[in-house]
Amino acid sequence: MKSWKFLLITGRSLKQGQAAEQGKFSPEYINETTTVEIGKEDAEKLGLSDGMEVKLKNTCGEGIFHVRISQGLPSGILFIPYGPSANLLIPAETEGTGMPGCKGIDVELLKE
Amino acid sequence: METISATCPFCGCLCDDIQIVVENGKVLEVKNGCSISKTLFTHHDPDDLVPQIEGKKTSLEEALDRATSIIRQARFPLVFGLSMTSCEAQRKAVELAEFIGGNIDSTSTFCHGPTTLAMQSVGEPTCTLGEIKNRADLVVFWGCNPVEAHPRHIARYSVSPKGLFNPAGRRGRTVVTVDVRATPTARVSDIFLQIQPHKDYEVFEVLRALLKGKDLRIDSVGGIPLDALKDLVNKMKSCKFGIILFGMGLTMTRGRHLNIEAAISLVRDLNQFTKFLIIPMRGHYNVTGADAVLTWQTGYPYALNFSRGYPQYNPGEFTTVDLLRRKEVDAALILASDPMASLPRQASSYLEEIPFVVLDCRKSYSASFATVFIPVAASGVSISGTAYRMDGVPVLLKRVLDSPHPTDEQVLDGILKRLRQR
Repeated sequence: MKSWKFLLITGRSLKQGQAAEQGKFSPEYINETTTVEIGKEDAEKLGLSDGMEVKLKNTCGEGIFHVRISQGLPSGILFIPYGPSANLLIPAETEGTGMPGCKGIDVELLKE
Repeated sequence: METISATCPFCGCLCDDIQIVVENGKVLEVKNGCSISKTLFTHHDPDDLVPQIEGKKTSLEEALDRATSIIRQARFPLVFGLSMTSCEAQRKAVELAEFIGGNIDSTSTFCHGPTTLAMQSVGEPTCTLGEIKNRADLVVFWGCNPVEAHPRHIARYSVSPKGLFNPAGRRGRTVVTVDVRATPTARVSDIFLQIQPHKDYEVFEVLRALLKGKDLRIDSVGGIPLDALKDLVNKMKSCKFGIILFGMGLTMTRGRHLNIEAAISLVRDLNQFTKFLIIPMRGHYNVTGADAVLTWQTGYPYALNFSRGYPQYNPGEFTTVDLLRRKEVDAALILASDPMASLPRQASSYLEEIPFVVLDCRKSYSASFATVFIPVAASGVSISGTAYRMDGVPVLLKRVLDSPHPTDEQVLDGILKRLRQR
């Protein structure tokens, strides 16, 4: 299995907000919150296409996500909409503020 | 068939111009709402929910008795959530937390908690969304993406509306987005500055230095060319009314509250040249209300502990992620929030080790793991009340549909009465 290092950003997406209102056990919510966005350039370099499954891993945990190629992401950055799957990878350390660092997290992307 | 006026209980915009067409208790159409608002009202299904103890259906009375027993036996209970319910329920939650000598914290803890820390340090140069609509000619979105997170913000307040002192609407405004990603908000902006992750503090400080006329011997900072920042400073100095609207892109990255302190300090400096203000883009529809209610009740906005009989405030110690990560609390009462879906798993997994009660108007991850789940009527859908918009303006939540369930306030009151009967 090959692996590459990335910085992960988690955040809101319109589909995630809408799907949460459809229900957090709806296929739409589960699908959106298990999606990882990757820039076009990085996707080509790694041989990834829309819908392919990849594993993301760091010291907090790991999860399986399906790829969505995004025009808006710079090289070296991944994006996952907020949700239970993204939270597997977010460190709970808050540096005395109460706020976990949900953006700019070191992750490893693994692909068969 | 009737048309009912509503306030959307989704995000901090609290759009109060929603029209809902209802027939026989079912929503037929949602007018004026964004796609999320339409889904919220059309998918509301309170009949699907029943009180549960350890996953088994039960009566409301038995659920209240068990919830009371869990709280009574706890030595360090946590009351958490608050952001998706009315101020009236929030006030009752504070009363309960004080009575049990517990800890109370809202979802501010992992959205704009760092913003509060910064404002306590350097102040809050703020205004209303109405002032932005009527006056702003320079709008800077920094680390936020309203097109996806606050879908009507741009159309109602910040970008396209025509205002009293801005009759040209969109043509009368310069819109700037600073973000790591080229978001949909960046695509509707005039200028997009793509910043590297974790570099916001440096960029704010460089903007402040440029504003003070310092000669900087660098070509770029945070991935942004210095010339682009000089151009931004000139635009900021020469506008008539500027506003920075910022989001989690500042609060959740390295520096956290220090990023916001730098942003507010920049705004303070800019007021030597022109009118400039700053507003956090609040997510949950009444998270601003949670800050307000806790502050007027206790003097502090979140991260509160009553174990000594008086309120103690200490982010990092009494904040929910820290309490759960360190496994300090021994029971929890969660209302209007879904921590098992929204907190880091390293913290939320501890909830599976302790008894906890969930009050929610929908099925949630937390509800499905709860020791006791009590369904409640949805504020802004089935009950009226007060909520605070992201700019601190109180807005009336309206009742649109009937619900078979009690309100958050009634459930909390039921638990409090049982606790007092001891």
